[in-house]
Amino acid sequence: MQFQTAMKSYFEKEGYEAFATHESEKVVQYLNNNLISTLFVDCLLPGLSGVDFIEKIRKKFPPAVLEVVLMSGLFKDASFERDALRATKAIGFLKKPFDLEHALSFVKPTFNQVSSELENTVSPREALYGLFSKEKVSHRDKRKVIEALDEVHGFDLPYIYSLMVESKNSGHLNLVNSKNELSSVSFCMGNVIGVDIADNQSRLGSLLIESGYLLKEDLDTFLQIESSKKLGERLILGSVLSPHAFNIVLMNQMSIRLSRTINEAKYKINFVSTDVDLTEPHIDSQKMTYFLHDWITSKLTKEWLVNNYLQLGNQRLRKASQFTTDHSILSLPLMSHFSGVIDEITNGKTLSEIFENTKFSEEIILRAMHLLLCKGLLIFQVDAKVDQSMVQNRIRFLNKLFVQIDKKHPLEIYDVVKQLTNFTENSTLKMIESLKSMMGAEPEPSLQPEVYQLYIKILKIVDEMARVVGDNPKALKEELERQELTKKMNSTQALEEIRQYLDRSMFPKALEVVNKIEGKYSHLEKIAVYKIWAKLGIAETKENKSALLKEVETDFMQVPPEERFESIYHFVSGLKFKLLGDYINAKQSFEKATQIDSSSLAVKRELQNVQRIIDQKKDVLNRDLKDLVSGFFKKK
Amino acid sequence: MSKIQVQIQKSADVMRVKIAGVIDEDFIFSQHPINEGKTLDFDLSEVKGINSCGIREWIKWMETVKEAKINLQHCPKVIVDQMNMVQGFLPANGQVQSFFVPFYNEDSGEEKMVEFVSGKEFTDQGLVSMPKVQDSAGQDMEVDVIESKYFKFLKRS
Repeated sequence: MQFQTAMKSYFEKEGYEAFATHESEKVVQYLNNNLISTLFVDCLLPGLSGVDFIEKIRKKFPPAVLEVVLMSGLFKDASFERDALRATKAIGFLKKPFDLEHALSFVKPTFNQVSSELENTVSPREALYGLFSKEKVSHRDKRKVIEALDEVHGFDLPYIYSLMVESKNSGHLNLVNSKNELSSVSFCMGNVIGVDIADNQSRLGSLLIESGYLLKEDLDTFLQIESSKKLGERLILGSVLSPHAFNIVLMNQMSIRLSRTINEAKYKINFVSTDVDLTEPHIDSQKMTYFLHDWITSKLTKEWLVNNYLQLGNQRLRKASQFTTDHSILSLPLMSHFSGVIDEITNGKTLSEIFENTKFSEEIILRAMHLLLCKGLLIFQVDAKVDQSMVQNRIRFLNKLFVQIDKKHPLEIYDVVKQLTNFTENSTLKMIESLKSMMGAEPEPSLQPEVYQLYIKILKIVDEMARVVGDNPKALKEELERQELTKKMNSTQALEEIRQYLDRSMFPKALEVVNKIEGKYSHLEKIAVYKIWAKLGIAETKENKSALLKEVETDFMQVPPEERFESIYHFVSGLKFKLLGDYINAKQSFEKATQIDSSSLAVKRELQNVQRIIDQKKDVLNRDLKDLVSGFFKKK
Repeated sequence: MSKIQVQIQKSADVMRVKIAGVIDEDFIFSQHPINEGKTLDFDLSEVKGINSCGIREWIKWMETVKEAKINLQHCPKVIVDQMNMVQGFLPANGQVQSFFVPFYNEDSGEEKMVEFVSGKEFTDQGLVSMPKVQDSAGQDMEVDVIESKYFKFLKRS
């Protein structure tokens, strides 16, 4: 009894809910009414052996639902242990006296614990996403969560930036990538006031020229003048640039640079809290919401989002108290184009249930959900009842995990498992143990053949990954980089092929290649605009354009923000306006495209076409007016 | 007014450099030559912040004094964070002589910076003792950083 009490209080101290009794009937009663993950049973119960008891309840509580650990102070011989484990399908046998810490190692963290209170054992990244389950978090706590971060993925950054803005922080968020290249984002009371990245493409001079605010000759002249003043200041003082134009370009520069940091790279990160002056222009909370929307719709990959929410399949979401029906976020394309998506997410179903039966695609649900969670408008219900059909949940979880790792490179599998387990140590085997604990005990082949097959397939994949990767994934990185290089060359060729088809107005062919390569390679620059161009080209020849135009609206969301300053983006925007019959805006877009890149023949051709249509319309109007006026004076 | 102030004092073979303010794009290392002393003592107690531009300049600055012995004194948290994160920020010829560690008491909300000194709280081998810190009401305070992350640089020091 004393031991039972000690065990119970130890588990409770460790944050688990524990129930102890010496009566087997009470155990059955408790199991019927509560969802428990692990049962510790002494082999010697009053009037019944522990082994017999477990065998009796196994039909109703198979290993997938209930994990059992046997304990004994009397039966210690190896043959008894082996037989008892086989008969009960228990996951362990503890010989008394045993260390309670050892006993705890058999208790796997429940799905619910993923979103439970932040504890010291929680990894910094888990703590970051743990905020998704908290309705009210003080600015200090948010700052501490960010300060605790060590290594993050580039796709974590949209949430981190948004959090920095929402918590009104001042200071510098410094980032270092694997090449030891430094970047920083400076904040003043929750406003982004500066972004520095190691990147020549987004230098102020180039952007000023591309935007048409500055001539290259002027830039060269001013660059040669030695001065302690910054370039922008020199240009304004020299009257070759207006402060207004300068601010527009500075804002564009921040937008491009922030967007460039959001990529599939790992960053080391730290936040230097310090006073920073508020300068113009800056990105405030409202603008950050737009950026957040654009990054989540265009930059984050579906795979990353799937992985991020994989272990939360049995969680439910609800609207946070901050959510209001007139919130500005609801007017953004992701919400307005997919009307009803919020109701779908917050209808009381678990995430797995939503994904299985929704009128929206899984990708749209994930993106909308992530956006609303990042803005604190939705939260996970930590007090939600865990779905009783644990087996179903488990199948869903295993299925998704399998899809994420099947036919992938070992390093990609390593990354998936690492992201899923939030594992920080350099031990692949330990990481896999952590994954196994998440996957639950091995299912019984005769009771759940499908789950068993799936479970075994996953284990085979991860074991093979561990064999190839070992404890040093960096060793494999070179090989992957080589493969990436080949992939990049192939994708560049494919993109060139698409461009050629587009230039020759072979739109269906261009779209065919786009569809073929889109899922195959990640980070395909311009693929989204090419897709839009091809679709608009096809739409032009169709009588019923509306369906394709609606599709195009969604495709526009997928253009990364940094590409929205390029000539080709303005060109496809012009094509869209032209197709909608808005020739004035079409002309403006084409003019903007030529301003940035005057060499494109397609742009020039479209500009001439649109100009001709506008002129014709003017002629028609003039002629009609002339006919009308002269009609008054005609003899009848 | 400049966001950063650098004071350099030279005596015999020792140069004493005191930096105050924020090390950012306004800090141009070439304006502050320090390559005349055999020993460089940096007092960083007044450094309030640093961004990526400042970190790049700092690293270039340190590269100008590869032969000297560099002592970093009174390093605030902002500097410790960079030593832990950026390769080359703490140069191979550099040694941390003292640095600040944040402490916090959850009940009172009081924060305190406690200076750890080489030979007392830490050595080249790492942390040797954790001081008992109390807030103004005599309540025990806890270290307000993740220890495995914050003290990582000590193994390189």
